[in-house]
Amino acid sequence: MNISGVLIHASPDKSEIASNMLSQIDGVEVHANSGGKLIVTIEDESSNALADRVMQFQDMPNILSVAVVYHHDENNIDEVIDPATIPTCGCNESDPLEPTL
Amino acid sequence: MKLTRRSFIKTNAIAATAAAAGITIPGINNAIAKTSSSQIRWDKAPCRFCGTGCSVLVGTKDGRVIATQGDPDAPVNRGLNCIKGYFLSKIMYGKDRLTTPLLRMTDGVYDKEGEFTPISWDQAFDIMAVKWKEALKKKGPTSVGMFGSGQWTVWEGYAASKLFKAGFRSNNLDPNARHCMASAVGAFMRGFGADEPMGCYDDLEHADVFVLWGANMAEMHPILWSRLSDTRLTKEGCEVHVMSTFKHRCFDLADNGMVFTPQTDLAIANYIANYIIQTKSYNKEFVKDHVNFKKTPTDIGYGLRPEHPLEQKKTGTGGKLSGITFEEYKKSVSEYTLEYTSKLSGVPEKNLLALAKVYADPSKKVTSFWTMGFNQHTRGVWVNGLVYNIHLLMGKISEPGNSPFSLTGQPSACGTAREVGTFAHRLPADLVVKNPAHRTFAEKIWKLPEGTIPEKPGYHAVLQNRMLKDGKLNAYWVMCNNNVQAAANFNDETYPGYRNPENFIVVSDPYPTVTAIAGDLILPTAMWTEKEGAYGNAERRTQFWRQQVKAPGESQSDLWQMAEFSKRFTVEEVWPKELIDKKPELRGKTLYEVLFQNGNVDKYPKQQITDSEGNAYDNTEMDHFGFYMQKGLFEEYRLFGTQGPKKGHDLGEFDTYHKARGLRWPVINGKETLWRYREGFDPFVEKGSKVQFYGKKDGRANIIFAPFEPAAESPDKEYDLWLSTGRVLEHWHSGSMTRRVPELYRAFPDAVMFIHPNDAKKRGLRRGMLAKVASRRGEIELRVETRGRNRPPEGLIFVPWFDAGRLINKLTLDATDPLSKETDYKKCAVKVLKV
Repeated sequence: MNISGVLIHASPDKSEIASNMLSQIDGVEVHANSGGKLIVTIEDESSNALADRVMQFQDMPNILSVAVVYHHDENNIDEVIDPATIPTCGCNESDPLEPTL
Repeated sequence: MKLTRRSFIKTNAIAATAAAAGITIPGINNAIAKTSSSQIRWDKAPCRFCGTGCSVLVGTKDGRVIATQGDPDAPVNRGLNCIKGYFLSKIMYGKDRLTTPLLRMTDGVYDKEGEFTPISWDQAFDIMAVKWKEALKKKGPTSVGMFGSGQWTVWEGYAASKLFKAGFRSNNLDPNARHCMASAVGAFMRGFGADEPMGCYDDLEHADVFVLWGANMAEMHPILWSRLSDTRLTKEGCEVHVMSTFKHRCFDLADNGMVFTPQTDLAIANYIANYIIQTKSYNKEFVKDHVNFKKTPTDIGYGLRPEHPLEQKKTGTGGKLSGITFEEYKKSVSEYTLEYTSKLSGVPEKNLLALAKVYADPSKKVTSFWTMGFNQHTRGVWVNGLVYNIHLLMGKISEPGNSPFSLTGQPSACGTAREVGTFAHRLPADLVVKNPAHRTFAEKIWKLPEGTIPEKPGYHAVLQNRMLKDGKLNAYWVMCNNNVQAAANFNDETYPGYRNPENFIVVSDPYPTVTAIAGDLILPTAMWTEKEGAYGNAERRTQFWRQQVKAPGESQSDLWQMAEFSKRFTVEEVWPKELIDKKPELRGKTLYEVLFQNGNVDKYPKQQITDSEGNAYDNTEMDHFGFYMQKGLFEEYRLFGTQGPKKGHDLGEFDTYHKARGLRWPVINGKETLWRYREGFDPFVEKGSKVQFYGKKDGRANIIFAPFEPAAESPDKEYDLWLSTGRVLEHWHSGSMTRRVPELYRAFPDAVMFIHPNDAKKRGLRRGMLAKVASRRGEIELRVETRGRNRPPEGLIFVPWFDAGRLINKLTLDATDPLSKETDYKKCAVKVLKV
């Protein structure tokens, strides 16, 4: 289980709209809205969720900035420590690391 | 109350985020429980990426960095982290990490056309020494050189400077910061006689108005953008003005968003100065007491090769300033009227007027930010200076909230490239090789014979590539950067230079980058927290970190590599007899003994590194060389600030930085300086003088008139679009680290072309289709993107440069600012075709 805390700045006059849009995303909760400053948590089973959600937030209307403050990865902690299971660059399909000269 | 494990963690997440935001949520205890298990050792380090200089907590377990998080005690980022910074712990663990030296060989011997073959360090230094000695013997010191980095640690840059400028007696040392900060430096030196901003990040909370001139902070400096957004949302009357050649994410927060035609920023800045003078809003007292008026030569060309038609056509040269009166300055800017500037720039009159008014209003504190939009500009020094003109006319400078602020793109562009002076013309602490007194001072500190450091500036970054191609620079070391991907005009200049059979190219890198595989010898390199380090960020903050883990395989740090290589040369092999005769005690010594065992650098004996909690840390270089090399180098380097001829460059003692979350120089008696040049903030300002720009002899800053002049290459009938290159949030620079983080790679896998929907439609293209982009120099294929974060106007496309598989620098032109020698990556002409 992944749980993250994210600070989002939204346009103050549209922050309620932004807050409602965020709340509709699975696993996303808005805990406070102080003049456009939103305290948001993300809960998800997948370890990719944090990056995916943060990128999704960046592209949503009325959201001005997104910063990650806290992340907890309870189940996967062993996987992160064991070098053998560190996720390799998910790029084997197109191999972007092969430069084109 | 009984808590489940999940709700406990969630409460922590909410509390940490609320604390970072400075808000209280009822029922949430702000005392954050330690999130980690006790086996993880946490220590601070500055982030590896941009120039913001966020501090992160690095979690290490079993010799491996397993986590990073924003450092809640850091004044820069206050616990926040951008998405790149969040994934920092993964940058060292890409699957293709290099672990052994690799030399191009055929049948067991070096062959420039051979295959990369693993060799030992000894073999690597053997072949390097042969090639270096060959070049030195054949053509002298100007045939050897190094391309360094704004990502080097402070002591690595300093060691490189000693090795090349003194050891090899070659000033052919330039950093990749030439591509990002040289124009900013040029303007600081011309305007104030001292490099780097007068203000600091505290201006983000003090300002009433923010103006962005060519900086997409929302993507490139996200944490500073969070602080700026916070001020905009919480401060009554706060305004944000954003200028760019295309709409980007900062426009979402803009009260006044302005898209201007490329290069017309020169006219816009002059219009504002004109408005301030016409409305008599300027600060008469400040101008009378603290400013000189100057003009600069015009029509100075575009820094291309001398035979280029544009260079043949120019009528002016250089940047020698001449004095003018206020009246003459007033007349010079008077042609930049609202009507003319609006027509030239394409920005509506009402927007320009709104911008001019905030600068001209003495009651509004204005902070201006810029980055590559200004610096990567064939008139970069001019345009940086034009914004200083505005701030100086109003006296809006060197005080909280009133701040012209040049942001940086690399973690130590300031701390290493600029402060240590690893440029072809510089020495530490704002000294220059051209000045005999400066050379003598450096030679004294370095305990070298007088006349060791050559007087003539070496080849700058762009010239290095040209000289490689021309076969004049033959033994070349690229360290801590990816210049084959980064330099403009890949096809005509960079690649032919690297593959020129006369040249031997060494590349030190943790990964097989485009540059590494274009070279002849690859050296596997320790990175970030695999070594002890120091970076200096954009607000003059010097930050240290301890080595957290060991580097993989046989990787070694840049510092180790340079010090080891220096053992391969005796002074007799690199210096003329007359020079050695001036200091006979150096006879028979190696460069290692001369440069690193000089009584300064080897002064501090081996010790166990510990933090305040008693945790122990490795120091690979100390173990290997037998003394605390980082400390010795830093303490020697520090003498340039405390004893050097240029005032106001004092750094604190080595040990204090390991305890502090960084300190902003000048550091006097352990106290940092937040705003320079103003009495009450800066201890170097003489009592009663209020403001003193002490980098200049008379204490006055220069307002320098410079006109609008066109770009080197503008769209025409055939190549009918502007190309601007740049970056995206998810990737840092050439992507050699961020593209190896699976999450970041997935988030933005390949470079795309951001294009206006009408421009796409006219060419029969739709979103997602593959299209060809071509310039006079090369072509690549990219997917079309008509939506999303960047929305160019008709007539311009934007392409990020992080993608090693889609090298946009095959298209760019190597036109540079003739003053700063920095390339203009934001303007050249291209066409877009259906594939």
